[in-house]
Amino acid sequence: MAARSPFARCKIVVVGDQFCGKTLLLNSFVNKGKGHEFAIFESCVVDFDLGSSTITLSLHDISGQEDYESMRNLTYADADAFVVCYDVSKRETLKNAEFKWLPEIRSKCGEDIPFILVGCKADLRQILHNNDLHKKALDLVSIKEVERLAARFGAYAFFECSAKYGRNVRQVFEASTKAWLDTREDLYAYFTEGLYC
Amino acid sequence: KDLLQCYSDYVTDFPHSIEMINQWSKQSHKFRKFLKKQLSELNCSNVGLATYLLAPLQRIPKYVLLLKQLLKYTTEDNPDYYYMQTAVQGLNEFINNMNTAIQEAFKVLNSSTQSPPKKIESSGSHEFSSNSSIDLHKLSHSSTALSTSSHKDSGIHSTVLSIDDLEVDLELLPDDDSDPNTGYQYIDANAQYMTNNLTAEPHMNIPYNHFGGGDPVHEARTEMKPSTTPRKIVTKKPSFGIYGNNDPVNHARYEPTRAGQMPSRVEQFTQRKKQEQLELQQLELSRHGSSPILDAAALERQRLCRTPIPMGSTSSLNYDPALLQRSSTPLDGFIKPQVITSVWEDDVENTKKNKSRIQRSKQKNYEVGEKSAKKPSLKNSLRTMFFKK
Repeated sequence: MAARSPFARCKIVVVGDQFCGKTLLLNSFVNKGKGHEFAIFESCVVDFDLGSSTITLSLHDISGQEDYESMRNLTYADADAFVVCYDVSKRETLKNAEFKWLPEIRSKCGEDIPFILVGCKADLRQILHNNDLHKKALDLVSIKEVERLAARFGAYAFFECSAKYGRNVRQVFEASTKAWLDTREDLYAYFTEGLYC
Repeated sequence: KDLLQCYSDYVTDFPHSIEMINQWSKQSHKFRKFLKKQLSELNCSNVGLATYLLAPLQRIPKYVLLLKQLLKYTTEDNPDYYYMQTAVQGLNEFINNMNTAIQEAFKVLNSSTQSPPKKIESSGSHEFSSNSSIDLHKLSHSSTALSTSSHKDSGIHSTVLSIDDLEVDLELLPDDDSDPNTGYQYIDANAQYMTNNLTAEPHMNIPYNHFGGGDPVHEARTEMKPSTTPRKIVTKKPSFGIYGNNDPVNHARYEPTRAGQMPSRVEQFTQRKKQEQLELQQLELSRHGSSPILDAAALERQRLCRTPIPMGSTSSLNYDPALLQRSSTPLDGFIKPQVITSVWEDDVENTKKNKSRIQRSKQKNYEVGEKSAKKPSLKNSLRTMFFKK
């Protein structure tokens, strides 16, 4: 039985630096693994099933608006959960996530807004190690760093995913919806009943 | 360029239109019904009108991205190359202008929402906001969330009001005020002030009663407001970086104090710090000494609330003592997140094994959950699931 309630709508906003793979991540999630290299994503609504119950997710992308704060504020309104992206092969992006995106989210949407950290382009890690590109490999973000950051900001979870190969993409959105469910006590009971019956 | 002008008109009127929708959806029952009906006919009742209104705005930066991608794959010999470049430049300039336009428009709007009556309007529509309108201050859907997130500010300063005040003021609200015309006059009156104020330097002290000008109804209301609730001006939070230009500590430092007015931000800051310390002590006492009487709901909230981690100078400002009181968060500083690391393996077989393992662990979790507790937390199940892997 697909349990569904009219008010179970989760707005997820994907946030991160330019060229760190936000749009590809969303595209590969919506198009079920067929991530085409196309830098446009229209905000859309997807029915996402968590085991036995489904939740409607409305996914939003901020691609192209990275430099324009007020535009971003418009998309932030009413957001339920955030996916903060960084590029695994660029340390800068993680720093930006720490000093730009997370404080921004917190100031705009409250202190205890649920979010998860996602490292995109995780396939690059393997490639760089295989080809012995040590110079570039130095710029890789280690998992411990991310762990520390996640602990500091109280992230619900952190992932590494690859939109190119469709790895861990589903889990990203699963975790973000669960992070949102955790903050909603009323819905929480409803959906966990659905899950465990 | 005509096309872009059309866009700019849309942008400048956008906040007003949202405001209007909010107002009318609050006022008339028919309008609400109409909106719901239309949305349900489109089979998109979950999206809301606001997203559709936003879509054209969000499309412009996407045009830029598309054009840039096209530019990548065209050689410079191509006759269209020049035109594309100019198009990208023009669009970029336009977006810059639009950005500032939106900012100003929203600041004007915020200045109006800052004052108590407007704030109430936005809160009054929050039953409906989940469906069709952007609630700028997004007093979220459930009342529990309201208590924890009532001080969301969308930029400048915002007033912090507790729930009780809102209820009181709602009763006091006369019906005449919801007339859109008066609202617009009000906005315009504030617009001038705000534009003056925005150009001023940040260390200008904002006079306390600057909203009262030219609106007798509003003035009356401020007098009627219970004096026990102090109106705080939350200092601007750092929007980029911790040590950015908007460092609230510095702001506080540069501000001169004025007698006979609202306590300046320096005093506010110190007061708040003292309050925090007191509350911290109380919390510690309650934890170590006498057993705290907490109902189940409070405990739940404790579990759910994540404490912001103290970081440098700004941490103390991010705390709101009122919030602390309501949510009674544990101040451990560190709450460990759910560690979910992905094992990165290129072999297909390995991933298959992992999948089966995950499924198995899921099943186990379900069994455990049924046996041990009625409400097993998803967090724990996730944790176990990924640690086993």
